[in-house]
Amino acid sequence: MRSGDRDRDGERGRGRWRGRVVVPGEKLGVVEEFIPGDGVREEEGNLYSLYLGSLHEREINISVRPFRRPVLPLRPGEIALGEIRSADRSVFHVFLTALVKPRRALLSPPVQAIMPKKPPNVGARPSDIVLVRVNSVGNGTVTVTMGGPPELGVVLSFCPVCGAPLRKGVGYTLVCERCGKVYLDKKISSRYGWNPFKEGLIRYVKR
Amino acid sequence: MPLYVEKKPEVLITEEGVRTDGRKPYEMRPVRMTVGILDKADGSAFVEWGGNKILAAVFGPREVHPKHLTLPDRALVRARYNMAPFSTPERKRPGPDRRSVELSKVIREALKPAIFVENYPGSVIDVFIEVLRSDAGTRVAGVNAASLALANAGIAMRGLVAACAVGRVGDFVICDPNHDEDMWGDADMPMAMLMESEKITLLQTDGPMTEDQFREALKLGRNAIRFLYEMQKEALKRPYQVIERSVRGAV
Repeated sequence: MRSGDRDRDGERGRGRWRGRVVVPGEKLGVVEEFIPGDGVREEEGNLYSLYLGSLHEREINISVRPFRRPVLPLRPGEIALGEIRSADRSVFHVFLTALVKPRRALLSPPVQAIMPKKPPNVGARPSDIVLVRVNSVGNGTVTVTMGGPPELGVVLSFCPVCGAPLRKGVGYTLVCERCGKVYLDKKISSRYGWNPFKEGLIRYVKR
Repeated sequence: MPLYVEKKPEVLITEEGVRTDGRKPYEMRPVRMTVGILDKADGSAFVEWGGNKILAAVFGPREVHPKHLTLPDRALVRARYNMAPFSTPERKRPGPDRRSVELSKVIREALKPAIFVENYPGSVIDVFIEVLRSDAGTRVAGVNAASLALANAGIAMRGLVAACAVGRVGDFVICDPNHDEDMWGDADMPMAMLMESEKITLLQTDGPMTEDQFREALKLGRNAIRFLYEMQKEALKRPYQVIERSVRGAV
């Protein structure tokens, strides 16, 4: 997709390039046209694919989904940053986006992990950004937990009612400044309020 | 007494510029590239280039063994170039020799600038290049195959690395020397490039060239590499084109 490639009516075709196969280093456009998402890198104003994969376009966001997803081997004991995407009856599904300790690295593409719904994890809910410890890695399943040192736990949370970010209140409480609701049941990290978005460790939250 | 004696051709290139295999100075031997042919590897590629048959496989990123080689901030890239005992006219003693060790290093250094090693700290990316049949230019064919295998493995890359050799026979600068030209030619210059940025990642020369000949060789090499890069892209996309058509047809 080069700059200037447009539909006949002059508008950028919505989803026109959906599914186009791209190779690493292939130029996808320029920053004035698109916002780079996963699998896209920017260099001197140009956007290039990082992987062999399919190109996906949504409004002005483009991303490349790799056909093969090499997973950085995680080791038990490492501390990772992740987002809770969904919850089942007994587990949370966590998307690990970065390793924080002792290695610091982006996990691109994110690694899917499970977190059992047992204390101290029970209070978490989908869309929470959490610092977790890798418990076990085996048979393609990564298990994580928020139990352990005080830095583990929820680092950023949003109000499920109004969507506003929650502020840390007295003790282990989180308060919504917009609607006033108070949440008592989460394990809050000692680093609550740290903004991983600023450091590029996480890009967006699925809500 | 050796079982196989190589015979030097009387003329390597005629005054009209016709080479021993009938090619013109700027022509390449036929090339065929295929990816994803090994199930057990994370990425693989097979390159047939003239008489060369090169198989490349990539494993990783995976745990580093031995552990003391682990780099905490980036991935370790290892490349192993190996010639099969049956790849040459006379049996080659199996295992690494001086040439294989050197070529492994050269290939690793040609590929490394293309890989985002900082995305995979504490892990290793292993690249294995097996020469099943050799016919001059195995290192550049190996670089092409390894680059395809890396992309096929889903490794984050700055771009594909394509490589080609150029050389000199008499006053002619030639593209992609064959076995005779490699053996008895005047100069040989393998080169590899990261095509999108046009950065050279491998440049070796063996034999004298004037400045003009060197410039001409570089230009010829770049054109050949551009052609090979397009072939690499086509080879990588080929297995997925059916999917692409079906997805785009559904839009």
